[in-house]
Order: sequence, then C-alpha cells, then structure tokens
Amino acid sequence: MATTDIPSGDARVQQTLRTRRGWSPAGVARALFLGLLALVVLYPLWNILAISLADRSSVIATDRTLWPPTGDAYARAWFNVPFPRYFLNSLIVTGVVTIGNTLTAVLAAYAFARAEFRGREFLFLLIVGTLMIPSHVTLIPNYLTFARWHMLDTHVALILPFLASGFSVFFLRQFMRGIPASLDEAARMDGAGTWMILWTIIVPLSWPAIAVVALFTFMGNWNEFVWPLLTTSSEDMRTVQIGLRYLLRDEGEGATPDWPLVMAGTMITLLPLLVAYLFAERHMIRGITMGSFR
Amino acid sequence: MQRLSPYLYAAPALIVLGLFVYWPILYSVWLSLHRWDFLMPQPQFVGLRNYRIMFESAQFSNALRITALFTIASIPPMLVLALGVAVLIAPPTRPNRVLRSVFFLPTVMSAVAIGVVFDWMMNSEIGTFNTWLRALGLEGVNWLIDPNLAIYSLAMVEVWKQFGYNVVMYAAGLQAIPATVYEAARMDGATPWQRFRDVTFPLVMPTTFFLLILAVINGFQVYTFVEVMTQGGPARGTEVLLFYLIRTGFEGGNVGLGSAIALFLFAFLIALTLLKMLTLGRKVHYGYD
Repeated sequence: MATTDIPSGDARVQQTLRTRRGWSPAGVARALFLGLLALVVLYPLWNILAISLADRSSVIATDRTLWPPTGDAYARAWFNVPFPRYFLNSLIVTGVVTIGNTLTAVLAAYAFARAEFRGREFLFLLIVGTLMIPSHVTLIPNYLTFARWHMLDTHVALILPFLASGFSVFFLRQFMRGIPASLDEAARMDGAGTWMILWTIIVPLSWPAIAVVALFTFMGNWNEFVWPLLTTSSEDMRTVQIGLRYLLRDEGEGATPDWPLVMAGTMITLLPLLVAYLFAERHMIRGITMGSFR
Repeated sequence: MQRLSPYLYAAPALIVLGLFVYWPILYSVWLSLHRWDFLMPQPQFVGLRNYRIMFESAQFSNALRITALFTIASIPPMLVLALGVAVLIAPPTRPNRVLRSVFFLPTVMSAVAIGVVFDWMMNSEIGTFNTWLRALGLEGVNWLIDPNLAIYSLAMVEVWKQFGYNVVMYAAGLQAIPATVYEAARMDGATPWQRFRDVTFPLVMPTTFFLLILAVINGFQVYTFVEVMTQGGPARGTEVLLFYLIRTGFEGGNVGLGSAIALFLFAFLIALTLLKMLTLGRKVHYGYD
C-alpha cells in the first residue's frame, strides 16, 4: 500500500482501520457504500452493452430476456444506418481540430513564454479571457458568419471555430516557462534561430504538456454537440453525436426507438473515449480539473 | 523581422479567437438591438425593445425558473455526496485510485450518450427504474413524462455525470490540509465526526465555494440532456434557458431576441465567474496526483 509523504488526517483514519484487521463495522460500511456507488456509476454502462447485444423484439417485452447475446444491432448500425459515415466525419473533424488546436497553441505559447514584445500582457489576457466566455453567446453570430460565407453544413464550419482555445495556450505557456532559458541560449550560440529552437528544444521537452492539451482537445471536440447540431443539416455531415441523437428520436416523434440499435450506436460513440480513458485516465483527469478553473 | 516574429507566432490563435469568440460578442450586442428574422432583407434598429420583450415574456421567466430548479436540485446531492466520498477515498491507496477513476468516468462521456442511456432507464413502460420498482411491488414513476417531475429527473442525471469531478476536486482540497491540524484535534480528543465538522469542513470551504459556483455556471448552461431526453417538454416543464434561446433564435428565426437572451445569460455567467475569481484567488487546490 502506498502512503503519501505527508499523510493527511484521513489517511491516518484509514490506516487505523486497516491495522485493526478483522474488519471493523465502520470499514465494512465504508466498503459497502463505496462499492454500491461504483455500481451506480457503472450500471448504465453495463446497460448500454447489454441492450446493444439484445434482440430487438425481446427488449420491448416486459419480461425480457437478454440472453443469448447477438451482434445484430452492431451490424445494422454499421450497414443499415450511415454510422460509418458519422464516425468518419467525427474522425476528420476531431482529428483536424486536435492537430490544429495543438499547433496554434504551441506557436502562441512559445511567443508568450519566451519573447518580449509590445502588448504581450494584453494579448495574453485576451487569450486567457476566452476561458471565461460561455460558448452559447457565440452560437447565433457564428452561425450567421458561416451562413454569409455559404459554408454551413460543411466540415470547415465544424472545424474552424475550434482551431484555437485559451486553455491550450495557457496550459502550454505555463509549462514552457518552466523550461530553463539557458537551453535556448546554448542553442542560439550554436546558431539556431527561434524557429529551430522551438522545434529542437521546446517542443521535445514539452511533450507531456502537449499530450495533455491534445487529449483534452480531442475529448472536448469528440463530444461536441450543440454546434454540429445547429450547423449540419444533411445526414452526410453528421458527427457521431448528432447521428446518435437522431437515431434515438428522428423527426417522426412518438415512434418507439430501436433500442438495441440505439445502444450499439451509443457504444460506438463512446468507444474512442473509453479506450483513451483506459490508457490515459490520469492525464485526462488532470486536463479536466485544470481546465475548469475558468 | 525579429521584432515581428512573436506576433506571427501568436497570430493564428489570436485570429481564430478574435473571429469566433470576441467578434461574436460585439455582433451579438448589435443584433440584440435589432429586429431581424431570416425573411427580412434588412435588420431594423429597435433599441432595447428585444430586452423589454424578453423580460415581459412568460416563456422567458418560465425558462429562468426551470433552469434555477434544475441547478438548485442538482447541487446539494452532488456536493454532499462528493465531499462524503472524497473524505473516504482521499488517501491515495491503490483501491482508492481505482474508485476515483470509476467515479470520474462519466465526466469524460458524451452528454448525448448519457442522455440516451438515461432516456432508456427512465422510460415509463420498459425502463430499468420502473422495472425494478414494479419488481418490488411498487408503482412505476413517470420520470420524464410528468411535467412537474421531469426537470428533477434531469437534475439526477446531472448529479450522476458531475459528481466524480467534484470528488476529485474535494480529494485534492483534502490532501492540502496539513496532517498536523488533525494531530492537534486528536490530541484534544476530538471524535471522527468532530474532526470532520470542526477541521475538514471549514478547511475545504474554499473548494466548496468554488464547486458551488462552478455548479451554478454549469447548471445554467444545461442543454444536451434536455435536447436528447425531453425536448423542453412536457408542457415546457424542462425548457431551460439555453433550449429557449435556441428555439427562439434558430427555429423561431428571431435573431434579435435570441441574442438578447444570450447576452442576459452571458452577463449572469460572467458575473459569477468574476465573483469566483475575486473571492477565491489561489485558495483552491487544483490538480490530481
């Protein structure tokens, strides 16, 4: 069991509980409570999986049996519904946004971390200030902007507004400021210019922070809902989130959803993030807890 | 050249943010002072009339009330549960880390996916919750169909999604409390409950306040659950502000009134954000070890 260097008071309580072996009533109650809560969190996920593997007709019956499992719903999601198309759209949009957003952030963060220039503080404040601005206020004007450019319902509309973010720039600048300036100096002595220094010194040393920014951007953009809902009108432009929403309730209100199909779609929608969470959960938690100080 | 280059490096980010964040705010102000739907060729200046229409509209006050209900209903269970769990799993032992990851999982899930699965579970006829209730011999509940209940059902979903984030923030706050403080309390013979009430609770107050304001900020921007699960219904019982804004500005095509609503919500959220920044400063401990 790992312990902290500075054990908090509660760590002490836990330790006394543990050393007192033979399961104290408080320890059992604690384990039960936490176990139950973990079940409450995980149950909906299990539900998605179970129903996606069920037979369409048996789900609607009140005395439903979910056995034996069938992959039928996944086959229908992939071949009868344009889910591959939604998935491709999401991959394109989120891929370009993740790369583009990280790139603009690396460039800007480098300037704000290393260069002295007029208006630096003000411009940085402008960038960080965007963290305070709720996205809903930009919906109508941005919609009108893309309408004027005749670019509604295109990938460009889904990508362009997300190519920079205050969080990415801020996070990377904080990190880059921690890299010793003497490294830049040494490289400069060897005749490297600012561009060279960025790519040979700063970027290689910033990988952990760049990874957090990329992961955070990927996650936020994959889950983006309101903007693609408003700007896409054709089925061919839908991302997985929009596709899933229409899978649940298409224009024809009142119809019973095809639940196994819907849940298969949900599973496909969640999959990239669940996989990412499995491998990089600590980085994702750090990115989210840091990102929310706005 | 050398003097110009920092601007060139910063330019891509500045241009994107200027074009899609700052310009829209100014444009919104201008739009909110005009009457314009997509059928009219020219926006017509109407002064503050959109704001007057907004404040006199019964739909607006309904949306405000519904949004407040959603926020108020979701905050107490979320914070109480999160603090309780954080106290239990604060020490970074292996099982505690696993639990923390499990509780945090809904935070990274798409709100659409969460809306879909709870739409199933809260389905009155075949949903999970009512199946269980009936198995216990109880009557099913109209989670999403009862106009007076639906908004609270959505608030429950919000608690489910957000509580793990609050646990992680509280756990970070708890770990920053020096062990010596507890030491002193134990010397004075404080019981575990007294230690919680007189040491832990007051010392995580900054975190509580931070999470409270954040929950209000998030609560007032709820949209996806409503759009996926109830579409504002039944009987406008879940028509939150953002849903009303989008219905007015996009489906209704009333761009001026929509912008007025957006700016009202914007002013409210900015005020909260400033309050959070002014009162808290650096007192909150962020991060995750």
